[in-house]
Amino acid sequence: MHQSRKLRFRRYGWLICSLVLGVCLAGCGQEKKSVDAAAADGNMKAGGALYFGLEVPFQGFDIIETGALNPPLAPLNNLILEPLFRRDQEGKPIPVLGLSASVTADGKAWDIKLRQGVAFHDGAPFNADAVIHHWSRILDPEKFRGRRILRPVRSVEKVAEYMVRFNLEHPWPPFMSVISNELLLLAFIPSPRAVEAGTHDRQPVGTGPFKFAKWQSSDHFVVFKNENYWQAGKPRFNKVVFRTIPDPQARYASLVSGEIDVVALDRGNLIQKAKADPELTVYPSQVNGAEIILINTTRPPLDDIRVRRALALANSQEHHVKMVYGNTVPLVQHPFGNEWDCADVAYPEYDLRQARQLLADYGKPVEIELLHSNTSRGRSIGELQQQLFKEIGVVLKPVGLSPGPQMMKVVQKDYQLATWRIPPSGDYGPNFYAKYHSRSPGNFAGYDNPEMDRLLEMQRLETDPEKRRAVLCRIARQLNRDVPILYRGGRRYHVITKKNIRDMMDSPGFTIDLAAAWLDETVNFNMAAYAIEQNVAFTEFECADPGDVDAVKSRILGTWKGKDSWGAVISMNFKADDTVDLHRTGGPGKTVTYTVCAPKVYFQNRASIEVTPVDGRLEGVWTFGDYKGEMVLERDG
Amino acid sequence: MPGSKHSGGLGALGWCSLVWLLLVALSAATADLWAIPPFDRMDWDNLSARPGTRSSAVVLQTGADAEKRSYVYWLGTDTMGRDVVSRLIHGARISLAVGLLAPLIGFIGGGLLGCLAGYFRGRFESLVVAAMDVILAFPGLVLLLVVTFYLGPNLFNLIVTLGCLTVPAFSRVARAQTLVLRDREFVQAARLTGAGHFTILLREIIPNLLVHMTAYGLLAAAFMIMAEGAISFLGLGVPAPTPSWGGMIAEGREVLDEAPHVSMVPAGIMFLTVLAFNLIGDGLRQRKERRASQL
Amino acid sequence: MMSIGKKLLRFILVILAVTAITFLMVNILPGDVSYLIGGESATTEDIQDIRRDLGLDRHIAVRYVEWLGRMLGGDLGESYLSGEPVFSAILNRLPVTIELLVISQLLALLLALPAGIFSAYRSNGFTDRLINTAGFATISIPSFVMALVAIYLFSIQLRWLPATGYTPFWEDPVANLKSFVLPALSIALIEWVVLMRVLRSDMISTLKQDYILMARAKGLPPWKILLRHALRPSSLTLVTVFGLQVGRLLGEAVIIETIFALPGIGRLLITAIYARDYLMVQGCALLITIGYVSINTAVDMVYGIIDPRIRGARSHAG
Repeated sequence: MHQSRKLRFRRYGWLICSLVLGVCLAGCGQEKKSVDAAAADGNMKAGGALYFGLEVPFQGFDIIETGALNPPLAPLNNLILEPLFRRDQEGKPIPVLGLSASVTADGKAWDIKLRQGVAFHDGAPFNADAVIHHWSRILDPEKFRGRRILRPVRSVEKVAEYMVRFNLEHPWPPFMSVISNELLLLAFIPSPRAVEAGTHDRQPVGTGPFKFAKWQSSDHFVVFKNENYWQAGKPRFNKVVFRTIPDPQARYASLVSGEIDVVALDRGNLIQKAKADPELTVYPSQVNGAEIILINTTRPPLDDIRVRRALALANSQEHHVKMVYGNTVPLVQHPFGNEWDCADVAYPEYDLRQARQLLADYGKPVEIELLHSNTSRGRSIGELQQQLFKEIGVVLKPVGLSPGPQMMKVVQKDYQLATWRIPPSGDYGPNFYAKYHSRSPGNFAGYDNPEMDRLLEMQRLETDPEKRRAVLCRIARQLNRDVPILYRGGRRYHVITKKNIRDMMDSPGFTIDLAAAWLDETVNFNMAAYAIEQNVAFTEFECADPGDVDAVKSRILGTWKGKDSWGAVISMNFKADDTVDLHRTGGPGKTVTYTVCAPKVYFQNRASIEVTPVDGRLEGVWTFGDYKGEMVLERDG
Repeated sequence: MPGSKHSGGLGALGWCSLVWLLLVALSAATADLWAIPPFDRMDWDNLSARPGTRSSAVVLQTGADAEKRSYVYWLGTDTMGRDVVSRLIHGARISLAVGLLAPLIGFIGGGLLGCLAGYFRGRFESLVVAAMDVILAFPGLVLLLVVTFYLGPNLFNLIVTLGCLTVPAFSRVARAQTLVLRDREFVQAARLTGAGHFTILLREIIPNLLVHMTAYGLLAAAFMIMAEGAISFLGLGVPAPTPSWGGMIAEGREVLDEAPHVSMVPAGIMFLTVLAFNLIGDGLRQRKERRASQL
Repeated sequence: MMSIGKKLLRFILVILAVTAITFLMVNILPGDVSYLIGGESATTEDIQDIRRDLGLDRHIAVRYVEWLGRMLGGDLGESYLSGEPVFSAILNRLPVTIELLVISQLLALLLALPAGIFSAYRSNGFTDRLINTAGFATISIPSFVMALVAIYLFSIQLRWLPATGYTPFWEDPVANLKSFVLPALSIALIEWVVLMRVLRSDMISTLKQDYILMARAKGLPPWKILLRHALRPSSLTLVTVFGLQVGRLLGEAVIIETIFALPGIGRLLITAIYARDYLMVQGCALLITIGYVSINTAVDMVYGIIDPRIRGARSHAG
């Protein structure tokens, strides 16, 4: 890092003048924007701070105290804590704290070898005892409400100092995917000391790349670099600050203005704007799952398949995706993600004529209610659905409820239609079994079809992954035939960063890897994206005696050229109309040019230049975020 | 009030306000008869369209269901492609309902309580004053939020809650006036002639209260419209698909930079209506005060 | 007129009533929080367990008394979402709301003082009517619309100020103050009217007093008369209204903080409402109300002490 040294001039003892120029970061792209992609290999610099904008604040980290199975900030779980394994795109496990996993011949026990030489942030060693401590707690039905998801797991025991064994009730193929699901808090191993002390919930301690530093209510959350992290060279940022900005507009505005470096967004129009902004990079996820409408098949008139099929045929997923999600989520025909190639899942394509015919067959008028969440998005969904069904003469009444009551009604099967979602999952087997098996208590649609039950049971017992997939496709096809759900669109997360944040989204699966992320400051200066013709006006003069301003101005008029402490060549041309043309060429590793262009200063920018005439030279310092450079310029020509 | 200095009437501004309010009320009442698209009709191809956009395939609420006509969106469309004019007119119903009915509750309930408290005094008065103090102790918006949130956001709850919130203010106005009136000569005279309390209240006191309370009521109406706007803006107001001015403003917020008309047009209409109420209410109050000082 | 002692008693009674009502309101529908915690895969047994854990299955009177006891000890419970103690969450955000209220009131005063003085001085003149009309216009604009207009004008079009965002004071005082300009302006542009009107009417009556006529006869310049002699006695009601406004603005702050994403108490309340964090809602509503009542009572008491003349008159008007 470069230290700053403001050069002030006191030689004549009567004149201290500095010119402070504002440098526009984001607002001046009115003319042509050329896209300049700088490859930044070999320029990785560790250090600095990353600012992350969150929609919801962090919840507690102790899974038993908070009771939350998958907290909304799931992708950030791997910050302070780590799981035994992660999964890559194909679902294969990647060793993290666990090195390898092997299953016994009868499929009823898994042996997991643990990584050595790892310690928790508070010094406690990571070993089999730590793993046992965490998992026994989770498996204790008295303690943990979400235990059901691990029902087949009976116990966990220590085999050696760095080896544990999980005992299952029966062979359970999804075992590895469950314990390596980074979206579930239970997969992450906390420090036994912190858990015992009862402080882990609000002062989490783990083995991860960052250490907990500070948690200011639901406003900001700060973590520092873990100097003793077991992966060499990581993390790169020294500090990450999470700020909670619930309002999407506000969040986006903070990103654009430079206060924040990374946000996640789901508002279509903002995502489209971000895509068009050359200063930002948009990372869309490829997750599976779907946004759906759940149909209570036990309530008339929805118990009649003709009515349900009619609704499916009149439900235009395109419109949902366009109007509600701004075309930022994919169209889906099944929830397994669009990489899965299921042959013909019999998706009911938009067909108003056939829908009307089915309703005519049914004969009676259809009036139904849709429960949606009481947010602006929920309301849009309700209104849109109302319009769509109006086309076939179905009267739909949208009812807005807050999430709690809405969930309550669905769980009690006291609804007709409700907005719902299929969460992303590695293995949909257990999820679908719980949701669509006629005897499952989690079957909120009241869906009862022996054919479906048969398929679900078959899938459950199948061990061959290819065959499991095939059965899941058949299940999806059955769902599209029987219509206990309507699809509104796929799921896709969007993470948007400033262009110069690198390697954050490179890890497998859609997880935000803050350990690998770093700030590429070469790209900072690729402002060639902005117009060349404009120049900057002086925005501030600071003089001991205001009368000296003109004197100083007259002394610096003209062109100056020199170098800065980063080795870049700088030239500044001060003009009589109080503006300056500024060029900076070269720079670490890459030749770049930019011209400062905004005529106004506003406080969001993080860059400034201070110059002082000293003898016949111009000495100055530029500041850009955490970076500073000193420069000395001489008259040019 | 500007412009009505010496005249006994409302002045130019006052009359303009009255005309505007009548216009709004009339539009709201006849909303279903206008040749405009239904307020929930979405035009997929014209999302957030500018004012003056022409579309050739619009179904009107007066026309047959499938008949598509050419139509100009005079005030543009909102983020879901719905005609702003149509939503404004239908939304006027909500705003006017809240603006007129909620103060009515306060007027009747608060007026009665305050009047009786001021007339009979004693324990009853202390009780009423204490109860009013408790209601007034809550910052209005906070109370409104918490109550409508937990009781559910619908028009009825909104009107009742807002109405209850105005009760203390009305009761204060009524009580203050009653206290002054009950010591006046004509009331004393009525007592002397043996008139009962009820008769005195009905004949002498209440009629004199009415103008004061109406003036205050109009100001309260203005405030109620803004309060409803605020609640809808926060998403806790009348549920969809019923449009409301506050809800429309909130919807337009996310396209404020690209399509400011979606927010600003309903905001402007709300402003004019609230201003109208304020001007007339204030004018009435000034008339009453001038009359009183002439006595 | 009531003595100080009686006022204090009334204050305590009102606070008690407020706590009871807040508790009651928030606990009308206790089942929802359990469903939120339970999540999508909860069964009925899970919900029962959660309710038992949260103590929601006991009688409401019992819970109220218990809660009251804890509250007096400073324990308002914990947010079920983040586990954070409600009391400290509120305390952390109090400075932001206070700063917003103070700055917006000062701005309103800044606007109201010259307007009020001038329109009283030249009452019924052209400027007076202009100011009066402007006043009418601005109070007809709801604060959230004013905020949107301010954002549109200053942030989107002119790009002078940021639309949202907040920097703590100790991090960067300038940025901190800048992040309050638009929010405070949105409030001040509406609040100034009330202050202006009060000042104007008081000053008009003050200017009719004899000693003012004497001063004019003496030949003192008008600005001296206005500022030195007339302002002080006319500002009593102004100060009172000023104090009362602050209490009322606590409600306004909710909307403004939400629009501008300022981490104050108002936004905490809204977030808690959306998230059904009932303990947080309770705590926020309670503390906001207690603050409001306390300010009003304090202003009331001060007012009563300072001006016995008003005391007498008020007893008639109630």
